[in-house]
Parts: sequence; C-alpha cells; structure tokens
Amino acid sequence: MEPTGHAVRLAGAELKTSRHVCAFFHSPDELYRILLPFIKEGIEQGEKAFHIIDPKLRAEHLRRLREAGVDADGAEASGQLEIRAWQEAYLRGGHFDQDAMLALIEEVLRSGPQQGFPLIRLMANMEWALEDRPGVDDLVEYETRLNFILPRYPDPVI
Amino acid sequence: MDILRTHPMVIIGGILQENPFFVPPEEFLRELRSRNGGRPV
Repeated sequence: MEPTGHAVRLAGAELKTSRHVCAFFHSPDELYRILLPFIKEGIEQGEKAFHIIDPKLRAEHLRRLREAGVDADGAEASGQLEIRAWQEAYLRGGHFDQDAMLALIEEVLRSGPQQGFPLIRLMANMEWALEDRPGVDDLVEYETRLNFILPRYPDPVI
Repeated sequence: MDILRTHPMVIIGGILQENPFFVPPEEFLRELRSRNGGRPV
C-alpha cells in the first residue's frame, strides 16, 4: 500500500514504501538516539505507537520517552501508546508461535484505523530471540511471511 | 544471517538504507523448504 500523507522519518531519512525495518544497535543509548525522534514524530502527528519490549525494561523505556518530551503516561492512558511485554506478544504461552504472532500483527495494524489513528508505528525489541526458547527456530520463517502482510499496510514496523 | 535477509530496509551504524541482502518472501520460503528436504516449512 502507498503510504498515507503521513511522512515517516527514521534515522535521518524518509521511510518510503518499504516499511519493514531491521535495526541493529550497539547499545540502548544508540537505540534511543535513533528511535526516539521516530517515536516522538508519530505521537506528535496523532499516530499510534505500539511497542513490544522486554518486560524488565518497561520502566526504563517510559523514562526515556518522558525525557524526550513524550507525554508517555497521557499517551498510554489515552491508548495512543500501547506497550506490550514479550509475554503478551511473541511469547504468549511461553513459546513463540509464528501463526499466532502473524495474526496478532495483522490485528494490531487493522485496529489503527478502527481506533481513529491514521498510522501505527510498531516497534519490537527482538532480543528474546537470542535466548533458547521453544519455537525460536521459526523466527526467520515468521519474518519472511511478514513481508506478505506488511506491504498491504502503510505502517512502519521496526 | 537469515534475519537480515527478511527485511527490505535496515539500520546499521545509525543509517537507514535499502537492504541489499533482502530476499522476497516467495523466494525465501522456497529456500527454507529446500533446506528442509522439500517438506513444507
């Protein structure tokens, strides 16, 4: 799908029609230096932010958002910002189920317009995949299958 | 690294760029299937 009128800037460049991004960072500082402007731009444009993170880092994530000037608490309360722990997304039931996760991603992307958001910026931390968990071998197949789904939506997925 | 090959865009060294290693999903699934001895993945 062609992007909507909402420009998406990421890492100093405009993200055009291909919006499935693999991002490597050396440190949390580098991650937030690159991603905070992207997150903040979306919040300011009235878009939804959907973040899947390590549950241990939830407080730190919120602190980084607040420090960048994002009203994280207000955005969470209004539903504009939704933060899910790995166990509420990739690892429901304690293991990775690629079909369930593909269904969840599609459900999330469909829910944006239903909730009145012009775009969803989905950001997922994948470090759980470095751990030895059941189903983790299916991750590559899941990621390639996402490329059948994501082109149908304008939303960036990192 | 297979994961890198499943994303059309990549950020490395803080720079966003088109990923030259990206493999379209039809082709990648075929490759996974052939690795798997022809069984559906």
